[in-house]
Amino acid sequence: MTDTDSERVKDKTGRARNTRAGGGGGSGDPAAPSLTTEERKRRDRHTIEKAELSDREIGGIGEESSLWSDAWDSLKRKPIFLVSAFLIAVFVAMAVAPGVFASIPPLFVDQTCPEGEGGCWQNPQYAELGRSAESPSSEHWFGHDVQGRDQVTRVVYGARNSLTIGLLVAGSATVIALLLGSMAGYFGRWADALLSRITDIWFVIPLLLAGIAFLNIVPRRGPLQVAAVLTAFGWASMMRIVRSSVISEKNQEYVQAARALGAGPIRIMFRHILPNSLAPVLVFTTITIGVIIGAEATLSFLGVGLQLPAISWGLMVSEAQRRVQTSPHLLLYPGFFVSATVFAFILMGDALRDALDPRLR
Amino acid sequence: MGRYLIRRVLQFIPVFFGATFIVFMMVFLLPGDPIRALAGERPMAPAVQAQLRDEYDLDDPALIRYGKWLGVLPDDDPNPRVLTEEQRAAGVEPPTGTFNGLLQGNFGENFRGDPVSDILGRTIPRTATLAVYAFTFEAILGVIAGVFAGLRKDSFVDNLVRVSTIMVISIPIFVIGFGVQILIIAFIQSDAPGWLRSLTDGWLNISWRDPDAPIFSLASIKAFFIPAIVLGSLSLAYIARLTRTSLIENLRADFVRTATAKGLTRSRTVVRHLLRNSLIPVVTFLGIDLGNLMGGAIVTETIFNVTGLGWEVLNGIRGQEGTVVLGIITFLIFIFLVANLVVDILYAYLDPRIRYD
Repeated sequence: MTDTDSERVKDKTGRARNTRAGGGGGSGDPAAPSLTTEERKRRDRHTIEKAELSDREIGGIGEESSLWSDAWDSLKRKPIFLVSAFLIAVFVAMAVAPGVFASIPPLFVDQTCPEGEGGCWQNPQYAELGRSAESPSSEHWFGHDVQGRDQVTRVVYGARNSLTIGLLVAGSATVIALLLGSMAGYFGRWADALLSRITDIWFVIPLLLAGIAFLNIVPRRGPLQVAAVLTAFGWASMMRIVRSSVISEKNQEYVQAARALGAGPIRIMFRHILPNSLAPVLVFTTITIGVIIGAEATLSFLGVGLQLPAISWGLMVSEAQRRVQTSPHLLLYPGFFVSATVFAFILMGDALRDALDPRLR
Repeated sequence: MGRYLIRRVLQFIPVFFGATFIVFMMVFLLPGDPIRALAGERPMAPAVQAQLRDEYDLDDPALIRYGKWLGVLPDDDPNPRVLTEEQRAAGVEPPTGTFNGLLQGNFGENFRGDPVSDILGRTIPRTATLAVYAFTFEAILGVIAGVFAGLRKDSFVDNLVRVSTIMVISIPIFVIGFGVQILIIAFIQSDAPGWLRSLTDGWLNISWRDPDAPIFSLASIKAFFIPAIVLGSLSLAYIARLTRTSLIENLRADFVRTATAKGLTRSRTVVRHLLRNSLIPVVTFLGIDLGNLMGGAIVTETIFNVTGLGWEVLNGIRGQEGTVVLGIITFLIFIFLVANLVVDILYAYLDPRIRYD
């Protein structure tokens, strides 16, 4: 879905730098300007200098590192990247150490343990039914859920399942896509025809529908089961990206050079083609993490994702939906957190695309 | 072009059968005994159970069942469908061993004996109506927003469009749906001035009524107004971004410079030269999206109680109605494939630069 949307924008700092280094041509417009020979020479010299400079530090990977180190240079200055990186860091911290996160004083004004150890508001399963669906207060910022549990704690603990599933699915889908996509792209002919048709078949099965139909069969659905099903139906579009990326790389001169030097197909693929076609894959993987987190929440909301007593933002919304008229806060906080997480990853994908898209350089 | 068309249609066929096979296998795996579920609390005689299992082919191997469902293998049950009314009245026995499946236009029946094609016939118009409204909404507003953003790059409007679209893309549709509900409830409970209330009267339906008013009638538009906006919001964001990017790319193109140099007015350059070329990718996106909207309506239909395809799928899954789920997913896959095919053909007409071998 997002591959059609090739948003390419430069921020102010990027443009300023560009104008200084390359002369008028760039001016930061996404319509990649055709560089004059002079500009191109200057740019190439710049790249070579950079590569030579950074050679020693990164252990002589040389050529290959220039795209990534250039990308890093421009990323560091981008507010979009910094904002999304900060948000992702916060959510990852929540997922890794929810307990620590859940006892930060400003978030947890009410640190009392009404029933001693294990009976604190910091325990996501601790409930006082008398406080069911209580509105937000200065002690409990997000209020209480239907069972009377503290919603700040619930929301913080909800990050782990979402991120686990998002990362697992995006990671394994990328691995599958890299394997199949590079085989189809590199070998071409009947291998390409076969693999592409298989991918077409998986591509037309709608992710959400398949997730619903398949997960319904699984009696006990933990993060692993949900992730497996989402991976099974989510790798196809990524495979198409890898394939086209490999196809565009494989006729480049450096591949011919490697072949002329006697490198075998596996070496050419893993040492030469894949590292050079990783950029679009990385962008898409980042966006996929966000999309999958949204899909997990949707499935849990529909009752075919994670099951209670698991803590998931989608489940929280699902529990809250009958009370939407009387206590909207039950729904707004988990809804906001899942949106913010997806937002962070999609924004990050956007920033990475700006930095890595070779058409912009 | 002719050869390209034939190749595309031929590719369509294995993809369709492959995808329906995968979905069939998935549904075939549904746990539990649907016949038991049919009987409910009361015990059912083993003979009756056996006959029902045989009638629904529950004991056949999966591949054979797929063949029968598809209609490439003969069905060994009596098939009353091939009889005419007179034959039925005369008490002619229905023949056995006829081909009676998807290829013959038969989607099977659910465990209550209702043909799935009837269920499809009842629910498709509702989902299609919803999809058409959502489509109209996203196409008009999305293109307008994209044009305003693209023509004034880096202006306030541009930044507004960029930030708001990425936010809409990030918010899952069920959160948008409930957010809209909460807003509407707050509006109704507030003391808004009377004229505002009478203006919005009948438009802010968060629970859906008037299911089968004819499409584009006022009653139907009112009934679908809010769900259609929610359903179309995601694609609206994509269309706005796509239009903007495409416009910005073409603004620097030679043909625009030529048009300006000829002395054409700004509006004529934009409408006749720039927009025509920039909207090609948007049109193709819209074509594919019409297929996506039908399938994407599950969540929207659940939240707003629209008893269309998505609602029926969810119901079918909860009630272990494999044939219903299968029928609906098959239909959606078919629509998606046709939409893709039409878009590919459309592309060739819209952009003659594209060559097909």
